[in-house]
Amino acid sequence: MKNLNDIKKENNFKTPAGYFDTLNNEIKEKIENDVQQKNSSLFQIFKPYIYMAASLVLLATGIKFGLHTFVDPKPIIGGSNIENIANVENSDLLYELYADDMVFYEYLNDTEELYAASNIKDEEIEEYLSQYYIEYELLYE
Amino acid sequence: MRKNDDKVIIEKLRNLETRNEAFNDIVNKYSQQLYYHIRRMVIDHEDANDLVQDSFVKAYTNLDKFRFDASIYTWLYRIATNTCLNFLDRQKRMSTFSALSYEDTLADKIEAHSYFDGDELQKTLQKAILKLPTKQRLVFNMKYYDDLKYSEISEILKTSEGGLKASYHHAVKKIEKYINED
Repeated sequence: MKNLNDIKKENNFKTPAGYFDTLNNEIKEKIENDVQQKNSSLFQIFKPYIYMAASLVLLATGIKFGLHTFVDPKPIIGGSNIENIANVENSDLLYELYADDMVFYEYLNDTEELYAASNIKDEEIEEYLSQYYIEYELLYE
Repeated sequence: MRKNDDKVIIEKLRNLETRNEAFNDIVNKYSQQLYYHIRRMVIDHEDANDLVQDSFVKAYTNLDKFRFDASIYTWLYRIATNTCLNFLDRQKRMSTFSALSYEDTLADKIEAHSYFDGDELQKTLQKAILKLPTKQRLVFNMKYYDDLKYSEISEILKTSEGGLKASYHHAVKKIEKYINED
């Protein structure tokens, strides 16, 4: 009956000659290669984002210089343009918008001449106003 | 004792400027021990060579996770053991549909391998060890060949010392039974 203690404890696993002389260097080389590979794979992961960022910078630069080349550098709102905006009050557009009210305003202001030029009676004017300009009834009174 | 020996290395590891130098010291100091720890588990020299290199690469890339109050030796052993167990799992899965079990393939390697020079009794001992369940084999090798304390094995395998003692005791009994029946 054999016990484990009866067996000599020895290491029977052998290695190629000089294996341990080169193992440490092989490990160090593998670490260097793996770290390099990891760094380059990091670049591969972020490559699309790096390209996207570069494209955006190029696009922004292009827009900035392109606008200077093709667009009139004068400001859209400048001295003369401000005057134009002020004159818009007299433009045809506004005149048309307020035409009806202005006709009525002129009519009210030119009553003397109109009276003189026509035979319209007060009753007829009142009747006309009450039909078409109800909101002015009070003013007229 | 080992912990005291590693104090200088740990101090160098703390400093980023001397970290690579410290890791070279670790490789020089522990590569041989780790190689044999792995070799006894995978038997084949080429596999052991790949796994010991992989273990050191993993250790280097995980240096930031190393707790400076821990022992470098047990930390490296843990990494090597996990690398080894993953490899053995893969090999076992791959041999599921083959005629020979993975353990039988390893036993054949002991018989035929030019890098095993033991006598018949030593071959029988190795075959008996190969018959043990993987984790029991691991505990047996660490205790019997590497002379690790139960407290160190416990730290490496994250298993209670009581469990390890029982495991080693059962392993010895199985091995003795195998040798006497052979």
